[in-house]
Amino acid sequence: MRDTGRRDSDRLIGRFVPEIGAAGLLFAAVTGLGLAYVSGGDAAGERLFTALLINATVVVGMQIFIGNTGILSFGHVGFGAVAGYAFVLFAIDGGRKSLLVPDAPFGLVDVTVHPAVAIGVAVAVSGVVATVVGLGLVRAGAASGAIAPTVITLSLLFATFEIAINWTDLTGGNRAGLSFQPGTAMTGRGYAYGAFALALAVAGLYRRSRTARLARAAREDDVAARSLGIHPAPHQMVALLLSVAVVAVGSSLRVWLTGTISPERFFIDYTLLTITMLVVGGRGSITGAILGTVLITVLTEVARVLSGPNVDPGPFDLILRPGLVDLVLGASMLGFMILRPRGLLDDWELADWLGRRLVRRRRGARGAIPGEAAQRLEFPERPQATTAPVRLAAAGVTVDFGGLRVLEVAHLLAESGRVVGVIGPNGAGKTTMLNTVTGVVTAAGGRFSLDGEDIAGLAPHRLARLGLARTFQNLRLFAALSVRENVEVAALAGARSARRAEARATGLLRLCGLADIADVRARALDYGAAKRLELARAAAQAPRFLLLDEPTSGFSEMESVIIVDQIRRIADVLGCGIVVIDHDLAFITNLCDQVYCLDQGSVIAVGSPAEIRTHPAVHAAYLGG
Amino acid sequence: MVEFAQQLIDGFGLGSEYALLALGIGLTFGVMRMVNFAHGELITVSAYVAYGLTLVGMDWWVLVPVIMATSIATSVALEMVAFRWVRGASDFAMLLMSFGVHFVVQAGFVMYVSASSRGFERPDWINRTTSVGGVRVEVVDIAVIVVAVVTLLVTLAILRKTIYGLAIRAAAENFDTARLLGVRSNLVIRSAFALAGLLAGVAAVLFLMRTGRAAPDAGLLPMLKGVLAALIGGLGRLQGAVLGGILLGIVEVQLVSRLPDELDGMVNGITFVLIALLFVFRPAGILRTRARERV
Repeated sequence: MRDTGRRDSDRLIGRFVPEIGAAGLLFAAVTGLGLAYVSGGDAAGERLFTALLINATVVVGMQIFIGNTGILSFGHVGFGAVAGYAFVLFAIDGGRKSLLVPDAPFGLVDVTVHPAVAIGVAVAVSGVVATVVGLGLVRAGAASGAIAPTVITLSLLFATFEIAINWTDLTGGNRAGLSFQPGTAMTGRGYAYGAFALALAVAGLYRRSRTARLARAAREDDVAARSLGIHPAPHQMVALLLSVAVVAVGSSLRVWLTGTISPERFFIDYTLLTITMLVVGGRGSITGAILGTVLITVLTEVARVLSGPNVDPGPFDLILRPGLVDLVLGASMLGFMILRPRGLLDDWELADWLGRRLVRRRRGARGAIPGEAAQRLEFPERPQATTAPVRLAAAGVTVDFGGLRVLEVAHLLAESGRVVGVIGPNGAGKTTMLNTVTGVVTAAGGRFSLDGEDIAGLAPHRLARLGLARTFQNLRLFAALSVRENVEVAALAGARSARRAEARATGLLRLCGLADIADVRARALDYGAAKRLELARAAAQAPRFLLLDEPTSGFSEMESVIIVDQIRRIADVLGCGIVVIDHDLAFITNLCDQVYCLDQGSVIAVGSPAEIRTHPAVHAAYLGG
Repeated sequence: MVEFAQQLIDGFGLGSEYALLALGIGLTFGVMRMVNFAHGELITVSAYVAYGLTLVGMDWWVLVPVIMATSIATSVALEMVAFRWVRGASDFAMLLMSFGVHFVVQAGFVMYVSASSRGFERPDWINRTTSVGGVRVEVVDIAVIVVAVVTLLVTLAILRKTIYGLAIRAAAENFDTARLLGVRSNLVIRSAFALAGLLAGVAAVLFLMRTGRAAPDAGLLPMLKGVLAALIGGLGRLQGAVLGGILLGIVEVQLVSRLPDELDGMVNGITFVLIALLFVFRPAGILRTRARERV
């Protein structure tokens, strides 16, 4: 008991200490750099440093959404505009307001709150807008890929701009804008420090959360994530709302500290600036977002001074002229997209580095982590041997592709504890069968049931949660995640307890011979290890049925033997039913208890391996005859 | 009734300009899987060419082919110096690449011409009106519709009947397979960009005749409308892009006429909000049912 307690506290420390430590280090680095720079004491330097803190807040806010979901958003500055106006309309005092926007709707002229409270209002208002836009965003993303959400965010940016320009009763229009009474805007940097620290903490803790991990899995491969029971939409929404909240705080401060807002200040130029900061440093990493912010701030400041009126361009007149800042930003973006599209740091993260150091130190101090050796595979969901077997059944299934009937299966039955094989030549409809059972392809007709319940027409993630796990013929791993993360995400998707999920992942990695390479990224794996990882990932869902699409394709005989052994062991541990698809007659008849043979979309033979081996129709399909 | 017909004609005219842009964006998306946020630069460049050449007194009739040639050349040139480097890259890199190209071109005009907008002379027949069956229409509206519709029909015919069109459509369908079958990727991509440039050139002529204005960001709003039109119709569907453009134009004109006058400036904003809402209910656009990915 005490031992478990200690392990839990180890886990908590292991999880949060690196994040908080990294946030602290980044905060110290940026403020230290900034304070050293402004120690000379000129006002322009102070303004620059304050702007840096605020921009860093906004960029870290954007990183929360863009980095974790992989969806490029041009709209965050638009959300910032909403927040900025909400802030200013609540924060400036009534006298000033009745001067600037006497006809403001909703009785806004009479409402004035402390700016700190107004920031809260700004977060709430932009949150409401983000909820509505986000619904369209995640739905469009699910239906047609990552491009549609990007275009929607861009149109949001334009919409806020156009509305801000034209709704002059509310915003004062483009020329005048809205501003604080001179002298009443905030001059100190206290709030900017606070916002920056808050942004770092929120982004760091979010990064470690279950929802962020599932969002990153969906970022890597939407289809595979759904097959693990992950519905990306809610996780993308969480990322969006958190991200917009941080951006709203940063945007409010941007207004408060400069004392003024106009539509132009939250439009395409600021979008360009912040997006460039994010992608130059590395959108996948908070550290990268900070690095990019600092670098681009320096770069644009140099460009601004050089192209300004106080510098004699001399022979460089062709370059040193107004417009240079935008050119530098645009060119940085082009350069990075061509040479290093994932930014300077890619997804290297200070917190991860700290975490690894911390683990190494602890291991060094105590030897092995206590209890690690004794950890076993935990599958609390494992059905008891005494309960009746669970059945997965399909009957009268038909699938049409553009009017052409590609599949017509009268009957197919799998049971827990048994291995069912589906065999047939290429194009027989095996993968289509599997895709139909797992909800990726919609059947034209037929009945599906799992444990007696009707499961026809359910979405892939619903089926996964009911206990169907699958692998893919052409591997679909989460390429940028480590081997361990790939398996953990699958375990997390269905588990309530993160601790249990992590323990299960450890056990499965060992079972599949992946423990030694647990920290390697999935994209760096060789083919055999990648196939084993996909198997481990599917097993981590603790499914009732495991559906394997050509688990040995591309394997040598030796490797096939290993994977057959692993499939058997997993089946044994999970107590699940297995459906294997393959065209290799010998492999299937070795592994399975019962075999279905498909040809041209129909079942031509069913039986025990022995019966299938000698079945004339199977011979005809395979050998032609 | 007459008023409604008038609005329909206006909307159709405006919409066919969007359709020209959307079709070009759809074409280049088809062969590269890149939404070209720099497509508006073809209009910007054309605008400055028109500005420069009207300044030296060139006649509009001569200007028209010059603008179209400029647009084609710019489109192909951007592909050669910029977009070819991100072929096959992630969506993310391609989107930001085209976004970056927009800013570099814009910064170029700010640095070497002027940050403020420049007006130029428009053709003198632009304000003439005529009457068709009791409906008063501006000559330019008829010209726009005729030119745009003819261009769209010719383009779709090229795509359907010629070997180049077949190659482009095959590449839009499945680029890798098309390549394996011997379709030359450079040629296909460049001819798609050339065709997109031609369409944008026609749109630029129609657009500039009416606005008579050159500014560094002149192409931004038309680009966004074109991209949205392509998205409404379902990205990568060429007829969808045309339909989306015309629909967008008609909706916009309807908004202008139905909204109270003080909201006239808000039409763009409201249109964008409506489109964002559209995707809540029709997440894949108005035509497409559901993107199917091979698993």
